[in-house]
Parts: sequence; C-alpha cells; structure tokens
Amino acid sequence: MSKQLFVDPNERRASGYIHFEDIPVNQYKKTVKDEVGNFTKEQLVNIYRDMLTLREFETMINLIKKTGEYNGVAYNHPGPAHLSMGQEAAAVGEAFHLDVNDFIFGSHRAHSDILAKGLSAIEKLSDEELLDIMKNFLDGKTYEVIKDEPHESVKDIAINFLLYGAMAEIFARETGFNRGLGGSMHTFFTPFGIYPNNAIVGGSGTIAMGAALYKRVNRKPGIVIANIGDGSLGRGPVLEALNMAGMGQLTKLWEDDMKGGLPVMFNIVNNQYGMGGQTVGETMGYDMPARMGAGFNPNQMLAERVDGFNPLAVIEAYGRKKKLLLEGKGPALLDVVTYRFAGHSPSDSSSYRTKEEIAAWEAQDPIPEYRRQLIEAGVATEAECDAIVEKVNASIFRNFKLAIDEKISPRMDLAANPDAIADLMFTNGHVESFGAPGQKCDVNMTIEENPRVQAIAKKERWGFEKDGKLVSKNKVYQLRDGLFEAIIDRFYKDPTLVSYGEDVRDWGGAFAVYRGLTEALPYHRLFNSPISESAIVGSAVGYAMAGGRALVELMYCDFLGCAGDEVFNQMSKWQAMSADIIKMPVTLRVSVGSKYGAQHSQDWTSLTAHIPGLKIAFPATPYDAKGLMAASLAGTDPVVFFESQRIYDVGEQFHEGGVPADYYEIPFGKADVKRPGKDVTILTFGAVLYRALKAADELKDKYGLEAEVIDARTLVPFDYDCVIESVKKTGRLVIVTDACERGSFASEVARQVTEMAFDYLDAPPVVVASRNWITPAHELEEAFFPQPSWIIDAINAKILPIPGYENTTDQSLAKKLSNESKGV
Amino acid sequence: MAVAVIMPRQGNTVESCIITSWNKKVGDKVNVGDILFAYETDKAAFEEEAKVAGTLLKVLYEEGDDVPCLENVCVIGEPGEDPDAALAGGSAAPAAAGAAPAAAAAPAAQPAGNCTPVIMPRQGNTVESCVITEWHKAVGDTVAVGDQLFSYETDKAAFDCEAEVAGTLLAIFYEEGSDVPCLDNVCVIGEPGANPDAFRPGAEQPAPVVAPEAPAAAPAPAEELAEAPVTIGDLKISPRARKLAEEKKADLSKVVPTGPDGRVIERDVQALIDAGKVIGAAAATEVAAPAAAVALGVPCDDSYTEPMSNIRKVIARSMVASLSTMAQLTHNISYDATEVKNARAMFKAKGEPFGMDKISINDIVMYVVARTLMQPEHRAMNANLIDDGKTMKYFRGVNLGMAVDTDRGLMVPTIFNADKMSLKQLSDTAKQLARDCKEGKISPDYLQGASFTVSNIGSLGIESFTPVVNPPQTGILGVCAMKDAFRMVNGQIEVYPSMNLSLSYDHRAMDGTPASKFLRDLKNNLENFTLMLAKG
Repeated sequence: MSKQLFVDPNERRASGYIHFEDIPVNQYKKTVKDEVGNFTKEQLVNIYRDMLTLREFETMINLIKKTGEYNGVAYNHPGPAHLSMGQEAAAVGEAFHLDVNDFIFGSHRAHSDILAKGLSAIEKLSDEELLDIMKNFLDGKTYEVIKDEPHESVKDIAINFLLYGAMAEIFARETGFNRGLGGSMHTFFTPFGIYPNNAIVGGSGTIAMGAALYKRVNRKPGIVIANIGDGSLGRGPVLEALNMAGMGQLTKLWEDDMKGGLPVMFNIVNNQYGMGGQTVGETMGYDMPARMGAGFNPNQMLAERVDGFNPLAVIEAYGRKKKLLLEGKGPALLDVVTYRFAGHSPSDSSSYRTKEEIAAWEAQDPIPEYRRQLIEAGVATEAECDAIVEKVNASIFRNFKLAIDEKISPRMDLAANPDAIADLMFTNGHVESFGAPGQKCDVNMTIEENPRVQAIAKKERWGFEKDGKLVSKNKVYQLRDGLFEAIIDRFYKDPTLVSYGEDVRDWGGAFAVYRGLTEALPYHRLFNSPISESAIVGSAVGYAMAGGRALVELMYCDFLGCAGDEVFNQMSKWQAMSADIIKMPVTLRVSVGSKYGAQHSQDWTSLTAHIPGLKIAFPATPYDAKGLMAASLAGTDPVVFFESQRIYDVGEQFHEGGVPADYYEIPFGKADVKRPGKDVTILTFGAVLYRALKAADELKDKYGLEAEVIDARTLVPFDYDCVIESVKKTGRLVIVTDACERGSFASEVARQVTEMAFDYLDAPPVVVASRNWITPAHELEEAFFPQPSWIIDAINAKILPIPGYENTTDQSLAKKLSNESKGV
Repeated sequence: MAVAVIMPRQGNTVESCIITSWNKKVGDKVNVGDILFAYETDKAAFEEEAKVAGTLLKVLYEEGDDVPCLENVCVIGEPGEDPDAALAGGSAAPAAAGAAPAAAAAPAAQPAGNCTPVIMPRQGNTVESCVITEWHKAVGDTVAVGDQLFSYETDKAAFDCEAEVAGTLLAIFYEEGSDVPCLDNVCVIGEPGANPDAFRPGAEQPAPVVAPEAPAAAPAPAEELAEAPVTIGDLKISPRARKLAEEKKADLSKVVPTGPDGRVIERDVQALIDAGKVIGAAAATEVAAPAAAVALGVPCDDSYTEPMSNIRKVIARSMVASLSTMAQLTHNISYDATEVKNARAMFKAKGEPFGMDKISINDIVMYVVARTLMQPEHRAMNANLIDDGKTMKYFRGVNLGMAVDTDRGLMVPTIFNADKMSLKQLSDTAKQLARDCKEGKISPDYLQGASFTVSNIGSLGIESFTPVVNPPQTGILGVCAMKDAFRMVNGQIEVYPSMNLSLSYDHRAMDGTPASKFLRDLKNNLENFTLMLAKG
C-alpha cells in the first residue's frame, strides 16, 4: 500500500484490451562464417574448447558411474551425478558475455554452468588477479595441488584449478571448492561469480532474485542469472520470484538510481524434461516456457526463446539482455532450448523417451556442428581442432587422477577432527557493517529526527510505577519499542541492511514494530513485498549470499510452511555447505499469534529448532527483545526470531532500571532467571513467561513453594547450564511452552535434562504445553494454551503433591494414554 | 566321526592368521600330535598339531590364505565320511571334543585315570542346584579322605562336602557364590601334574581356575547377581531422593512415600533425616546445631555389611510373600495345662525304660494338634490354599511342620502323617528332624509338604506372638510359655499352669468362627490330654 498511488475507480473499471508484444522464437540463425568479423579467432576457438571441456568432464563422470573407470583408471563415485551432455552450447553461450561481477546461481545439473562460467571468468581476469584468487582460496590448498601441473600460461593453471577444484568437490575432497561439503549438486566458486547451485528444483529462483536485489540496493555492477530448468516453472517459489523481480514499486515507487526491474535473468535451461516429466505436452501448459514472461509485467520480462544448440545464438541474446538488465529494464526470462543426451542421473534408463528421439537430437549435437562451422569458416583447421581435443582430454584426465588420489586429495578427516563439520554450522561472527568502505547508509533523516524515536523518548523505560503498579500501556516502553530501537540502530550502521515483508512499510508492520521506519528509510531499504513467503525468505538468502544483511519477516508463524524450503533448506544450510565461505546474516522475524484460530496462532519453534544451522530466539521482555535483536543484526548467522503478539505491549518488569537507551546486545545461548526460587524450576519459552509467573505467585502465596522461573530466551543455542544448575537446587522442572506438546522443544529439553541431571531430579521433568489440537476460537483458547493452573496441576500431580490442592485438569495417566492412543 | 579343525585365536587382538604351509594333504593319515599346518600372525609363527587321529578329509584354506580366527580350516575323520557333516552348524565344531577350544596352546585334554572328579551332590529330588558358600581347600592343596572340601547350601539347608579320595586338589571349577547344577563336577582330586581338564563342565560355565598361580578371582556368575534382590530396589524413589538417602544414610525401610503414585521423593527422605531415622547412628546429632555447648557425640560410622545368606533370602521372600499375599490374622487362647504338665512330669520320671523320658510339652501339643486337625470340621486348617487363591487342597492326613531354630536360620521340617503316629513315634521323629536341621544334614525333601505348622518359642518366655503362616498352608499355631495363672474357684484364688496358644490363619481359607472353634477344640483336647492319648 502506498498513498502515492491513487487507485482510481474510473481507470480500473474502464474497458479495453491487454496487448502483448510478439515473443521472438529462435530468430537468430547465423553460423560461425556469418560472425567471423564480430569475434576474434581466439574467442571462436575457445567456444569450441570450452564446449569440449564441458563434454569431456561429464563423460568422465558418466564413465566412472557406469563402468567404474575412466581411461582405464578405476574409481567409484557413489555420490550424485546429474549430467548435462548436450547442454554445452547453452552453458558456454550464456557465459561468454559474463564477467566475475555477474553471478550465476544454478540447479542440481550445473557442472557445465560452473565450468563455462569459470572458463569465461579466467579469460577476462588478469594473471595477477587469477594468481591472487587461487593462492588465497582456502589457504591455497587447492592451488598447491595443481600449481606445478603442465601449463603454458597462468590461464592454463587457472583452468587446471577450475577443473580440479570442481572434481575434488564432486568427489567430496577437502581440497574441493567447498571442502567437499557441497558435492556435485552444490559446487560453486564465488571468486569467479559462480554462486551456489541448488538441489531443490527452482531453489535458485528466489535466491538469484535476492542477489539481484543486493546489486541494485548496494549499487554493485553486474547482473544475476538463475539457471533453472523448464520443470522448475511448475514451482510456486519460482513464480513468486518472477513476480517479485518485476514488482511495480521497482519502477513506480523506488527512487532515482534505484528505479527499475531487478537485474536478474531467469535462464530457463529448457532441456525438455523435469526429471522424466515432459514439460511440453505433459506436465506444463505453457507450450513454450518463453510464454511465461508475458504474464508477469508489461515488458513481458523481455522474454524470448533462443536456440541453445547454437552457442552463437545464446551469446547474441545475452549480449542484448545483459545491456537491458544493467539499464534497469529487467527482469528477463530466456527460454534456452537444449536437450540432455544422458538420463536424469546414471540410474535413469530413459524409459520415458524413445531412442529415436535421443538419436534425432544427437544428430544435431552442437559440438561437432560447431567444429564443422569453424573449419567451414576457415577459423580453424582439422588439425587445430584435433589438437584442442587432445589438450582438453589430457587436462581432464590429469586432474581426474589428482582428484581421486587419496593422498593428494584427502577427504575431511572426521575421525581425527570429529568437530570439523560442527565447527562450520555457524560462523558466529560479529560484523558492524557489510557495506563497502565508504558506503553510506541511505536514510531520509537523522535518528534524532525520527518521530518514533522522539515518541519513545517520552516513554517510561521501566515497567512499574513507584507504588509497584504497572505503568499504563500508553506510557510504557513496550517490547515492540525494544525491537524497533535495535532495528533502527542497525539501519544507521550497516548500509546493506534491508528489511521487507508483508505490510512493513506505511502500515508499520502488522504489529507496529516498524512504525517510524517508513519515515527513516527510502523504499529500497524498507519495502512491502508481495504476499510471497518463499520469495521473501529465499531472496533474503540470496541477498546475504551476495554480501548483504537482511531482516525479513513472516507476518504470522503459521506462514512458515509457505517458506518451508527457504527456511529449512536454504537459510539454514549454506554456511556449512560452503565451508563457511558464505555468511548468512539473515534475521527472519516470525510472529506467533493468538486470538485468530487454528491458522494464525501456532508456535512452531520446534520445527525450526529441529533444523541444524538455524539460531532460534524467542524473547519475552522489552530488554531481551532489544538485546537479542541487536545481537541478531550484528551477527553473521541465520536467526529465526520469534515474537509473540500477546506481549508486544508489555513493559520491562525484570531488568532493574528499565531498558537502556544505549546500544547493547544479549548473547545467544544465555537463559535468564526471571525470578529466583528453591522449590521448583519453571522454564518458559516466550510469552508463557507471564503465565508461569502467575503460577509462581500462587505457589508462593497459597502453598509456600518458591518457584524459580527461567526464561530460555534462545532455543538454539540453548543454555542447559543454567537449567541444570537450577535443577540441582530444586530437583524439579516444569517446562512451559505455547507450542503443541508433541515434538515440542520443551519435550526436547525435558529429555536432555533427564539425561544430564538424572541424579538431581526428584521427579521427571514435566512439559506443560498446548493441546495437540487445532487452536480454537479466542473464546475457547483457555482450554488450549497452557494456563497458570495447569502448571500447578502438573506440579501437584506429577512432581510434588501439594496438600490441599485440587487439580483443575485431568492429569491421570489413563487420560494421557487415552489421548495418545487417539493421536491427540 | 569327522572333526573340524579351527584356526586358533592367538591372542585377543588377533583377527586372522595366514597359513604358511600345509604338512598334510587331503587323504593323508593323521596321528595325534602330527603337524597339520603352519601359520603365522604378523608377530609370530605357530604350528597346529592334530588332536585326533584319522584321515585328512578336507582342506578349506590353501597356503597363503588369510583365515579368520575360529574359522574351520580342515576336517579329520574316517575315510569315506562326509567331511561337511563336521562343518555343519557353525564355523567351529563345538561337538568335537578333540577340536581345539579357545585355549589351543594347552596340550590335548585326556580323561586321566589318576584324576577323580567331585560332583555337586543332589540333596533331595527337588533340588536342581546348590550354591557353594565356602571353599576349605585351594588348588594345589593336599587332600585326605574325610577332609572338608567345600560348604554349600540349597535354599533350605546347608551342607559340607567331604573328600572321598586322597590326593591333590587339581582344579576348582566353581568359585564361592557359584550356583552349581547338581551332579556337575565341582573340582578334581588327583596326582600332582595330572590334567583335570577333561572333567571341566561345559564351556558355557564360568571359567575355571586351573593353574595354581592364577588369581582365584573369577566373577560371580550371572545368576547370583540377578538373584540378589535389594529390598530398596522395589521402592519407587526419585533419583534425587535416592541420592540424598545415600548421602545421609537415611533408613529407607522407614520411609513414607508422599510423591505421585507412591514415589518416595526428596521431602520424604528429608523427613527421615529430620526424624533421625538413619542407618548406623543417631542422625539427630548430624543435624543438631553445632553451636550447642554440650557435646552430643558423633554418629558411629563403624558399621559393616554382610550379604544375606541364601537361607535368609529364602526366609525373607517367603515371609514377605506370606504377609503380602494372605489375609492373615491371629487369635489367642489359653488352656489349663495341668494335665499336660502332669503327663510331661510322668514321662520324665518314669519313661526312661520305654525311651519316652524325652517327650516334651511341645511333642504333646503337636500330638494333640495333629488329632484336632483330623476332626472333619477343621479340614480347612489342615489344608493348602493353592492355585493363586482359587483352590483349596485338603489333606487326609496331617503333615505337621515344626519350626526349628538353627544357626543358619529358621527351618521347618515336616513330620509326615503325624496323625497316625504314637506320641513316642512323633516325639522321636521330631527330635531326629530337629537334630538334622541343626547339623545341616536335613534333606530338602523333608523341608516341604506340610499341611499345618507348629512354632514354639515358649521356652524363651514369650507369652503371645503372631506366627506367620507359611504359604500355601492356611494356619500356624504358636506355642507360648507356660506360666502360673490364677482363677477364682468357690471364692478361693486357685493357682494353675496356663499356656497361651496363638493361632494365625488365612482368612481367605476360613472365617473367624471356624478358626476360633479349632482353637477352642484344641484347648479342650489339651486340657483332656489323657483322653486324647487313650483315644490314640
């Protein structure tokens, strides 16, 4: 929403037609002979060399998968191999105009893309730059292996480096581009502009769009390409990315040099199949993927179909499209026709296509055809071509032998260093700014001028009046103010920080956390995203991969499922999968609701805590909210930051003196004893803290029991030391959460504490959680969410019978067993 | 019979050995001691000698082969035999006594005429195994006929095993505490140097101690461990409460659980400690304020523990079972013992020529009990309640159990068919049984089968007590001390000897009235003992 845009009923109700421009289909028909004057001989010959390199590389892997040997040398590669023989012209054509500032993101079938982009980058980099990159990458380990291999130039060394680094990575060697942690489907090398390849179909769609956002917001050169398949156009996240890359505000609302569609190319590697599903005629309705562009924005995404069997056609198209993208005329969609000769993977018997079909495409194999054209045009002789073949094959074979040598290319030694991967799960950095030296923070005013900041200055930062009563909601500094202060602070320190999500601008966020940010920030740093949770999170991942810091939000926790892959597979995994070459400073705000029924009231902390690689926070007080948000936004790790809509308006009741106005951070993994006690420990996650305190009051006032109330504050990492110390004292533990009981993080803590502090326990740790139901209407919520009385019930029934206390709920084993037998 | 030869395991860390040469080939005659093949580990070389004679029927590994230890290497047997039969059913051939056991380096074990095994006797038909409680001889000791070799016990009685041959104790196959199946070889006596291995019980038994220099520290067999019931183990107690109890030595036998589902929790143990209910010493001093001027002493930590003997464990189980499964209660009555006392005096004074001078008051009571039990209306008292309380088993005679105190603990031998015995027969039988019990010679066969029991602790001055019914019996009579009692007769105080009888019975088997009637009839019969005697 934006008041600048008037929604005119007369215009919206006017009659007329939508007009489409014609979408070009394979209009380029030239051969080498036609282009001789436009390329150097070396360029034309290198196109042949590069296609051969890609082909032989894939042939090598195909042979070791299928025959167990290559050129008589045996090797067993048990990992994946999604090969791309047949797609070389498309890959080499795409890479020709790209330099290291242009980023490619790819798919599981990316070997050719990696090599083509790498070979292109090597051509464009100086010898000094190449040596600098190679010597500094992973402490020079990869370079050490190949530096003395036969070569005539630094570029030869670099080609060996590229071939060897990719092979070693595919074979899971520590000398590989990602120390063997990425593997075949995830090999990449950012110094050459080769960004992560994704094993989730279409996964790169949102990520590449986010990287393009980074380039725009931070005024970085270059374009971004998402190499995704024709099958990936069936995936929602890809469609979300196509839309968001060209959303109207980019041309209508963003200011000055920020204006224009994002510089991203959705390169549809149209090899005709999504695994076995035939996209045209079977699984998709588009007939030609290029048609898709017409639906997303008025410039039809510059969509075009290009003959991906002719490298010159792809080069020509990229020459035109890259220019348009750099001019802000993007986004673009290219339907690059190609064909994979091999199966989806070596186990694919191609039962879904005929031998005649494969033979027909092989008859038009771009590599011999291009060679024929080279010779026909007089650019190269048969002998010259043969020499290239010989050199390429020898090079692949040499590097293959190096990459499979256990001594030269060892795997990560997890026996000697069992924590090698554990140590890569988080980068645990503290970075004030990801901006380039001298990069200024784009803001509209000083912090002091900000109306929200001025309003907060008048608020009471401590939650109690002198007489002990709570300060009224209108006067008190609230939890949402704590979040705001930490966020606006970072916006003025880190120029790369951007924030977006649904209704964050103007509205101020559905829960008024961002009120005041609209005034402070231009559109490109704070904007309303489309209702596209996948694109919101996926683009934040791409934004971070490219080098920035992102704060994005899902309005309700319940929408987490809409961004499932982006949170569970992308945000969480790429640091470790890249051997920490990539940082993931993404904070994902997730708001847990109540009052709004079954699809707007769920606490899904356990789902995120289950996924390795995510840090999870859930503050419950203004002081903690500000400190944890500050730590999240200064860190280098992905954080899922849970908030509860029940308590956005609470004042600070624990931190003596109230919430400091100055900047501070609260480290992750430190629980906080909100009330000391000696008789029973009550551990809480998020908003249940306040219900636990009510229970603690009653335990003390009526039954003389002193409860120690601990606020977990963060789930991952979790402060077991604090809880165990408390349990040593009290011997009793109740864990309270608004999450449904089954599989909750509270249950996880109960199990862990049972193991860690068994001898100190006077009773099993008891979990008090929400029912394993749907969340009912607000009027019935008290039967669903944990209540103070439930906590006392649990203590009385399962831990410490309290004389004179009568349970308010059925705590019997029979009831529990009956519920479990019914699956509730 | 064909026998497989395995690749011995030469040390625990050796996984396999390489055959370096074959000295025999298939079809060759083999004598005991012939070298079959040579083999080596990475550290040493060995030769494998034949332990049986025959023909080499089959060779499974060739020279140079790396053979996993314990795998079959070849087969020796009679020409024409199927060598595969020896290989069936597992890698090693367990049935072949000649095949090398794990300790292949030892020379072949030959049953030697100059060795005599000592078996664990079967003490009664129902006894399956006995526990060795003590060894009196060690391996290497000289043994004379009649020397005590070891002591052992069943769950009912204890025994000593004496040597029946002279020689040297060559091997002990079971350590103290071992539960030894009856008739198994326990040890071997023979000439020094003779090999006792042939008598070693099956391989599944605990490792025997053979060499005198080997430390005799074989672990207790698993059954013993599993059988050791810790009473506290039945207690539901939280880990924290258990820890506190251990630290403060709280006496958990006195704990009152207040936790959920009867669990003992920390506060319950704290209550014990606060109440001074601790093991070993007055814990009150532990929690007393140290500032007190008066020295209140320190707790005595000078304690020691002993494992419960088997007999005590059996008694404990039986008593707990009795009190936890039955609805038992006790009725008391006293009777005028004038006649009984007179009779006893007469037997003592004049019975010697008839061998009746030792007839005791208890014998008389048992005699009368046996007859009273035979009255048809008291059949429920002379019965067993079996089948988990669903069936009454009535006896047509009286098998009268009598409680006997021994050094090892309470034993209850049975006087079978006591109702058919004369008083003298009964008395003689009772004395013989008591003597056997005290001497530990009683056969377990006599420690069962009772239909009713009499327990007499009157000699200790006890005037009333609650005997515990011995399941599956339905009743037990406690006989108390005789003492002077007083009664008014025609306005005059009269002194007479009185004896208390305490009858415990299982209310499940009968109600209070029939039990009372039995006690009343017993009283009448005792007061009219002469008539009972006359009746026979």
